[in-house]
Amino acid sequence: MSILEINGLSKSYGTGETAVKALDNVSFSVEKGEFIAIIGPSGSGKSTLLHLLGGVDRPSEGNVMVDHTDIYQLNETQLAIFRRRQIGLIYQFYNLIPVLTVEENMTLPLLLDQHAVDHQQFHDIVEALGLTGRLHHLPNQLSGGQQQRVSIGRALISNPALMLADEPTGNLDSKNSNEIIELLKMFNKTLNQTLIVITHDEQIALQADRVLSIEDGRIAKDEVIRP
Amino acid sequence: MNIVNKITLRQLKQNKRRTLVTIIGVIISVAMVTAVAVLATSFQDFMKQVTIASDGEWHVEYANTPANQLPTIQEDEQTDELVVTNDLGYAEFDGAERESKPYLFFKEMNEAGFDLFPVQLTEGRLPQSSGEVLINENILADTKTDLGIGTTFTVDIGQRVALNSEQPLGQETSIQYEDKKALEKLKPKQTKTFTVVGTMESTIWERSWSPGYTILHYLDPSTLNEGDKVNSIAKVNNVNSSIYDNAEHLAEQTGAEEIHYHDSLLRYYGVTDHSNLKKTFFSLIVILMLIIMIGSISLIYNAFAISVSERSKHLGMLSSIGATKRQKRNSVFFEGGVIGAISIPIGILSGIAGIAATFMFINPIIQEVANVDQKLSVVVTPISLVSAVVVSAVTILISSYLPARKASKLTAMDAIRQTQDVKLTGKAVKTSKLVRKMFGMEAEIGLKNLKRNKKRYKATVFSLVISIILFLTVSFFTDNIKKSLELTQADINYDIKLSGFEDVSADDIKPYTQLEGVTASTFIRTIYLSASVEEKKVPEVVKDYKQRPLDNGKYSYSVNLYAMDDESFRKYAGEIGKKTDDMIEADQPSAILVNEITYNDQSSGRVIETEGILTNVNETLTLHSIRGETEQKGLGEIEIAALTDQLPMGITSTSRPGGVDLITSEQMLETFLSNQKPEHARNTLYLNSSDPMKTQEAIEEIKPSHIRAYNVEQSRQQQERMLLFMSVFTYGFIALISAISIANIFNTISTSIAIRKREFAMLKSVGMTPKGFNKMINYESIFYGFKALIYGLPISIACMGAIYVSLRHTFTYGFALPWISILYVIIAIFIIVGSTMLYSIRKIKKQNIIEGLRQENL
Ligand SMILES: Nc1ncnc2c1ncn2[C@@H]1O[C@H](COP(=O)(O)OP(=O)(O)OP(=O)(O)O)[C@@H](O)[C@H]1O
Ligand SMILES: [Mg+2]
Repeated sequence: MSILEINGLSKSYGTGETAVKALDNVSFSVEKGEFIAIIGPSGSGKSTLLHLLGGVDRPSEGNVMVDHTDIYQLNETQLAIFRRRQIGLIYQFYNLIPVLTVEENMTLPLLLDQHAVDHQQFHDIVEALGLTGRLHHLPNQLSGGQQQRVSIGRALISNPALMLADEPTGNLDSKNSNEIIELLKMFNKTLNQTLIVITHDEQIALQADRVLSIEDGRIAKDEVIRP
Repeated sequence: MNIVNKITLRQLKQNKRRTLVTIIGVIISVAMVTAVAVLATSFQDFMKQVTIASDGEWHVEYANTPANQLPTIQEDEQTDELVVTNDLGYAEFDGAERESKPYLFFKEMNEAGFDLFPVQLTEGRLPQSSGEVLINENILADTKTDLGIGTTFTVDIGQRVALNSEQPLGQETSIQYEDKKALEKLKPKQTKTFTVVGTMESTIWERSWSPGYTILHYLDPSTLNEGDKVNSIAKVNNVNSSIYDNAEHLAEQTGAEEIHYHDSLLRYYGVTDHSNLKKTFFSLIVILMLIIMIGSISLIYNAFAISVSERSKHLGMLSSIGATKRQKRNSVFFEGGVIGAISIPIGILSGIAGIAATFMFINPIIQEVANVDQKLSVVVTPISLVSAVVVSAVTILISSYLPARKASKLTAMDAIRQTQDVKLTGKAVKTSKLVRKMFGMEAEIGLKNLKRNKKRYKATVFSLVISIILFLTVSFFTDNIKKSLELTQADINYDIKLSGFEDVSADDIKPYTQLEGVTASTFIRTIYLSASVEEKKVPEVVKDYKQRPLDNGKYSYSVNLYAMDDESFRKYAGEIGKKTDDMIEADQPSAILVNEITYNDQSSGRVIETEGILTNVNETLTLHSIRGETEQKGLGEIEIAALTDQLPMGITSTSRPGGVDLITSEQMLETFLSNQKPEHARNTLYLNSSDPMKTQEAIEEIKPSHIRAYNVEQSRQQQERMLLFMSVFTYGFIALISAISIANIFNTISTSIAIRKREFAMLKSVGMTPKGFNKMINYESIFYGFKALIYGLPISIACMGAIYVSLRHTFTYGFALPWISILYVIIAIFIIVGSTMLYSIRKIKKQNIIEGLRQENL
């Protein structure tokens, strides 16, 4: 059963001479529980695609169907609630709220939904991310890698159906990097979460079920590694 | 231009809206500072004009200068024009009809005198040669003498002297007599012949009580003899503090006997030392300027602080590639310079224009209120301009100092960390669980934002608090003055009051009741007497107040005896529930005692209400004239017919310990006086009219100069204009200060929201709904509003209390909070904060999340 269907998705920036087509008529579908790696050269449109999947940007053309719902037909409020409950988005540039502590940043999606925090789960994640002892720090008191790990924690906390990660290990050493990928994979396996990861790391790409190569805003290759 | 300044300029251009709001704020404050400075110089000039119009344009008087020395003064460098004048003295006025004005008063002046002193010609021409005179037009109005233009008359002129001491008397001293016996005489010195060439309005050398009508003679200084002594009065070229030394020097040189300075005029040049006016005036200006500066500094400081924290990334980067502390600091001063260079000239021009417009509006009012012909005109002196520029520049400098210091300290590290405004402590910010429960997570995030961005939050609350205090205290002040004015008129139920001194008889003013439009009238004869009261009848407060009794053990009371015309008396007695039938006809004179006094005790500051005399109906009071300290001069006994606390219309209570008011009728007064003549009496007629202004005109046409007509309607209108006049300035001031505050609030709030663009995008991306977003912003607004009110209201109330205490003597009523203004403030604060928030957030709400995240800063 496909959880995600992308049809003719395009995104361009600017108009006229300076117009840039970041995504050009991209279509593919994703099965529930799949682990997909997206690779491609810098500037090829990977982040753009991921943002469109996460409902945080607006496409120029085409649509994104999640569970048979066209998410860009939803109104602002519905879309916000959809993001809050269904999507875990890990940004390339972390994007934490500077005035909130690590703990508050991580539990934010739950708090917005007025969900009680499952303390057991929270502590498991914190431990797995190696953030114990940093919970009451503000983002600008953390290293780049730590900030990235907080943003991963924030994405994991609400058990989203769709986990989207933009170079989640870009700032981490190989040991840390492996642990994070294992964590994401564990959620992917145990909770049947769909996982899409952008990466430049071949090691990570090879662990995926399927690898999408993007070049110049188009899907250049779509390889299924393990069916 | 160096690169740092280039970046600064580019940034100012990029943040157009904030730069514009800052510039507008600075323009307003420069305009206000300019306005205050120009207002000061213009008022000074206006007061000079008014003083010159009423007292003449002169500066120094050399009394009794030998006539042969006049050229010395005339040719002195500092002398511009020289008035030569001389009081000739008095002559008996054969046609005089008023007891208090039996003389003609002769004064002579040279041409400069007619020019520099306010002589208002009403008919004919000014005298041009010896022997020609101008006469006071009242001579013709008050009497039947034929001193018309063209008349030539001869008089014996001499000096008025007191009978016993031979002391010379002048126009300041009224006619001296007692019991119809004159206490002064005239000592004729010379006989002169004059020709009347014109009439003039009453002059400044004649008071309402002066005994002589003024006649001005033309003095040709060349006709003076060697030994003559005259007064020479100089108008000085260039008024500055050197005129004192120079005048003394000249007096010594010429042998002038005395020097008088025109202090009331000189003080408006700011040269007198012995005048509090300068101090009061100056401190008022300083206070106003300080208020403006506080408002503006908080605005400009905020603007610079915001811009520095925005630029922190550039500044940090620059420092990592080698910009010095100085370069970084100067970039902030450069920003201040750019803003100042644009705002100061515009501000000064608009300040002057604003004042000019205000003057145009208030000139008619001020002419009416102050009863002058002079106009307020814009006077800009180099000093006022320079001080406006200096104050504005200092304001900008002070405002940019701290941000500049901060900028100089920015390092590359700060640039990387970026959000250095956020407090760098891990300490949990306590927000009550209640907030989250009641308003949701969104409110809590809003609150955390405020608390962690302490500086910006404090600056915003501070500017709100300042606005609240300014608005409330200023409106409290105006409100109270308004109330005082209204109170003074509250009890008045007549339209026109006619009154005069002792020489205005009942027959003089009673005919006015027959004028057209008069609907009702009350005639009251007031006699000022005293009474001795036995100790046991004197209340304790009065004893305390009087301190000790007279030698005979009794206490002396001052008594105002009011005799109303019989009909009005009957009406009044009826109002207080007293039958008058047996009273008026009785042999024993009786009166109604107004026996309740209310007064403000100066030492305790409390309002005290007490009985005047401890007495009862049917007891008597022994009255005597004021001069008679002993009872030998007693006028007789009067019986107390009734006690009351209610005064008849038109009479205001004496209300002081040791004073009482007695009300009686005209007929009973006759019985009481039985042909004795009291020394201090006054006749007053109160009129009601269907058209007060018209009746007033009719009165003005026929009344002689010694009857005073007071028109309530007219004075009511005058006071209303006075209030309007004050309101123009106070509310203008409030409005401008509020404008600065609003600009400030706008700047702080909108920037703090713009800076949080990224954060908002982030919140949206993790699923904050538009509704939640509104909630957060609303909560922040409410929080700002509450915080500002929590500080602002108590401080304002304390300020009002302080104003009330210091002006207690002016306010004759209790302290009352201006609830309406407070309500306005509360509403206005939430509206201003809320609408600014909404305005700032409007764009951000629509923005694309990814775009928001890409925002570096703004
Ligand atoms: N706001 C924007 N305005 C203009 N062009 C943009 C904007 N955002 C992205 N682009 C362009 O779109 C293209 C795709 O950008 P995108 O961020 O998706 O690349 P990427 O594949 O994620 O690259 P990287 O691996 O370096 O992160 C790039 O050429 C970029 O310059
Ligand atoms: Mg990318």
